[in-house]
Amino acid sequence: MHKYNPNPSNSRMFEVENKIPHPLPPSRWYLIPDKSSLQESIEKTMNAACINRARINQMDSSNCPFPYLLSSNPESSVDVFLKAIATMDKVEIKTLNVFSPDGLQGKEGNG
Amino acid sequence: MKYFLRLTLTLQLFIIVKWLKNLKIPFPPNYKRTTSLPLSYFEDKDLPQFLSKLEALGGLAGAVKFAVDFGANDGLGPSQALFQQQNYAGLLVEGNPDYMPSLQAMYPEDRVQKVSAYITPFTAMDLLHNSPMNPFFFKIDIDADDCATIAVMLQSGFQPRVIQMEFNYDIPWPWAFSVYPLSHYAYTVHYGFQSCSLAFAWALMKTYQYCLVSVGGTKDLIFVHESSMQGLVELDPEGTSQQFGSYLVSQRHNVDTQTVFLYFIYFLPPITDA
Repeated sequence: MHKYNPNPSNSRMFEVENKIPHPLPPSRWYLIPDKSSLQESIEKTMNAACINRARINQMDSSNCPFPYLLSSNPESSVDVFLKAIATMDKVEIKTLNVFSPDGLQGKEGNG
Repeated sequence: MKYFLRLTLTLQLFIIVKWLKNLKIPFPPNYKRTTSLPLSYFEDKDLPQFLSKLEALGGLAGAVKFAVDFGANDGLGPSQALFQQQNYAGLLVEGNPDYMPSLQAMYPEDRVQKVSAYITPFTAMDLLHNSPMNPFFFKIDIDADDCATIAVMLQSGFQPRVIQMEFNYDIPWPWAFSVYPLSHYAYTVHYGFQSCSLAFAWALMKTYQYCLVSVGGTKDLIFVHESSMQGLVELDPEGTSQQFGSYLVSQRHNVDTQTVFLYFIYFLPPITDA
């Protein structure tokens, strides 16, 4: 399960995390019958989560929202996803390595 | 006397409410938690017996008694019992190097490889270079682009018989959510923006011939390859999502209800002597 261990020497970042407003507690999404308002709530929450995450990782939050897929049609979204995977190449690996070896990613739990 | 009775009653109710708050719902209603097949709700401790029974039914024939754990953390995961009690060989990978001493202490045997590396769709297959491509069990819980990683692995020929993966339980059915598989960003830390939802995971795994057979209290899904489905029943993902959602709601709403109840007790109108 989620085991986020913020660096204890940097409590400021954890405070930032807690100040990000959560538009709607996710557990209550299951009680909303209207799909359009549910989608809107999920999108707002994802954007807030993106800003939150960018700040934690000391990245520019103006990049938000980070790309994500959200669809009420699982099969079609998987098609888009697999096509995106098929186009990933070595250039992406180099970009990723900017973050992975010594960046904040490696200092957090990977599980 | 009335004040004393009122105080006593309040204290008793307070104790009851405190007890209720600590009362944990063990598993969702309508779920069968059983170590005999079929299995619709599981906990980590059920895994060894589940795999043993699946093996006895012939569901693991042709596969290697090997477990791969991506996102091993401190080692106290579902594969612990496999390595320590059932002598599985395996591979543990964890991105946080601080956990390596713990993993080394828990699993000193050479048959269990311990690797400190960050797991991404690009590194996953390299990490498997000393592992069989058809192990009994694979677990992934990296709180990042889990679905992209698993898709790349399955696409590359990795075919574990049983897969345990964490999903983003914040997104209800039928919404298929996943972080986009372009790893420019650091997809770490929870708060709703990681991994993929149940609907997405279900549809993705279906394309690789995996069937959903169980959901767990650790917010994990269990998939079994269709060639190993003897004796197992595939779960209906929509019903599973709704029941799991109700479970989450019931857990979180209990606290709210009890808080309201406490307020009710403390804000009762004062007793006045007639």
